[in-house]
Amino acid sequence: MEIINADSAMLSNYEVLTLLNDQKAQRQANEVAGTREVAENLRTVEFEVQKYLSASPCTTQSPEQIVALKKALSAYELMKVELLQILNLRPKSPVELLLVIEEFEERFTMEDCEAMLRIILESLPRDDDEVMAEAENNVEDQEA
Amino acid sequence: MFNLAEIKDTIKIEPSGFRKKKPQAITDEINRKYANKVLQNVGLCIAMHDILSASEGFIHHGDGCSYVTVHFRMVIFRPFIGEIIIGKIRSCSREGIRVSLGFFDDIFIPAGYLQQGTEFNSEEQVWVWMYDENEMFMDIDESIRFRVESEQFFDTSPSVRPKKEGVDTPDLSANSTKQAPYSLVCSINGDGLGLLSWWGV
Repeated sequence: MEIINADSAMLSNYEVLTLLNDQKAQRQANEVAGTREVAENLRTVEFEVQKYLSASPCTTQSPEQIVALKKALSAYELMKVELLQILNLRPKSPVELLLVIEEFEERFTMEDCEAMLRIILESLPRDDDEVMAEAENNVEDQEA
Repeated sequence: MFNLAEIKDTIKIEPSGFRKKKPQAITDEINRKYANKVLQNVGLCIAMHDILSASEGFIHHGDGCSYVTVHFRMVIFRPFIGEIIIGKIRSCSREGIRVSLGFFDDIFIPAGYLQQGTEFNSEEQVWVWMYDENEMFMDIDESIRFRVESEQFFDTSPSVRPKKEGVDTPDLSANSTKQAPYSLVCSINGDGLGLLSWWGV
């Protein structure tokens, strides 16, 4: 065995989940024909990674959304790893965003922070945001 | 969190695999050999990503298997230093907190890397962050956000394992050190780090 490059590219959580899902679907299609057996170690790690990633924001992402996010954030000079972290963690509050961006205070202003959060929310929409927003509205209605 | 590693290896395909198509047989063998294993200084292998090239199959004298040299890419779990990850607390002890991602368990947050003012509650066996007179318990199974500080690879192959001093028994398990082949040391001392519930999300 020869390691040619231990780190040739970074993958987002979305890419890994898509790969595992495709791989599994393809295998199941073949299993119907009854010609394949699966190694136990692959089954284990595949199941556990899928379980972990299914609980993360990457489940509702799509290639179009990711391209749109990259384009929308291109105005800010973010590093590749920072973009990747934004994609994987999908920060919703300033404290989360500041965590994944190095030296935020020196590079950006608080207005930038709000704008970035808005871009993230719009580019990577998720249903549970609406549920949360509705819940907040309901509370406000009741209070009024 | 995940990346791709390029690897070249000679893969053995047993005659029972000959009924499969070649790429399929190679993929199965590579996954069988690598999935869920730690490669030294590379990381934890998840699954094969793609095959870049493969040689003709060779059959050796006295062996019916086909040997193929394959150049392929593997999906690897290896977070970079400084990466922020979300996991679940697996256990607490006086030394620190163990965190699990489900597929990877060797994550440790030492006591010195917890939030300032965190104390160990020996009655409940959990760490408690004292913040503005609030007691914030770090219970098991809570989601926790942490930063990767350092990584460590440990070669667990039997030939290089150093013998413990003064221990010389025929019992092999007594000589084993039980150290994880790949482990991460992480921290939660900073804004936004720690239990997700602390930061209102």
